[in-house]
Amino acid sequence: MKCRLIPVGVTLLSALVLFGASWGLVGTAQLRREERRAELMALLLPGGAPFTRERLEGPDENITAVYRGTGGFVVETVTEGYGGPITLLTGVEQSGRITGAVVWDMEETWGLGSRALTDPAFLAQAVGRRGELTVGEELDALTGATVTSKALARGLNSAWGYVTGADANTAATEWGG
Amino acid sequence: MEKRMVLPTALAVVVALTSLALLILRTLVPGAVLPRWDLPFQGALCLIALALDAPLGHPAKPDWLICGLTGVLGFGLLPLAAGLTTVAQAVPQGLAGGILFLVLTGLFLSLRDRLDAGVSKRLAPLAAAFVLFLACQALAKLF
Repeated sequence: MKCRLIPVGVTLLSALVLFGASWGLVGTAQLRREERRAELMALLLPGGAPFTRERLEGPDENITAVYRGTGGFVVETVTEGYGGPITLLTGVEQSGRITGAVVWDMEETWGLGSRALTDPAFLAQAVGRRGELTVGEELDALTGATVTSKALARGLNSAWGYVTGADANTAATEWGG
Repeated sequence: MEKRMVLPTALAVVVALTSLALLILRTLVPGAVLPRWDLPFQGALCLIALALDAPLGHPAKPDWLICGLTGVLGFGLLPLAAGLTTVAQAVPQGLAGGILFLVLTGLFLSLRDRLDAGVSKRLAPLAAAFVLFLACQALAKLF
């Protein structure tokens, strides 16, 4: 009987250890996340630091945070990909020129959608552009990951739309567009 | 330890170590793409435990009650304790993980026993785990 309780005991003990580790690492995780975000924002909008977080305005629900820097903004968007939400950080100059974009968080299929993160070529297509971007026109889709590509395009368009005041919610970024 | 307790213990250890690894990765490498805690992922962890059990617990038959209980607790509680899932996700994931573990154990043992002869003997657990992992991935989108 005692022997039968070993797996359950191991599970409960592991849960306690994990809970302790998780609780102990909360501060470090938060700090590392903020440091990494600051590093990325400095890359996305060169010369833009320091950044201050803006109060969110506008109807675009894709936008979750906006950081104002010198000469432009870094806009955080969350759009629905194939495997789940994709969080994208996009640097946009005040003139509307996209200076950089990086995936900050995503849950996509390994080897297909996740190439949005590991293969910089897709997002590099947006750098230097002004105006709305459409997959199949200005942007070549990631092979085998059209849904992910369209989700990223929606994020880019929302960021650009926020900075320029344009309405980026057009059919060009809708499903099948 | 009884040989038939090796399998559920292996599952608990595999899920715990995976949760710890993901917790550390998420802390130290923010922005890294981590695998979703979904059915194929849970299936992969079950199959790793089953492959580990093959040389250690073989030929003992599993204790189904303890396997189910460990599956539910392991997949419900451990990712929650590591902060990888929410309380609302813990119950369905635990139940799904427990059922999945029982189903995969039945299929794995059946497959392995049929492959377990001649030169393929050593590769039987790995081959069975690989086939079932592909099946998990293929079927996951049905649910």
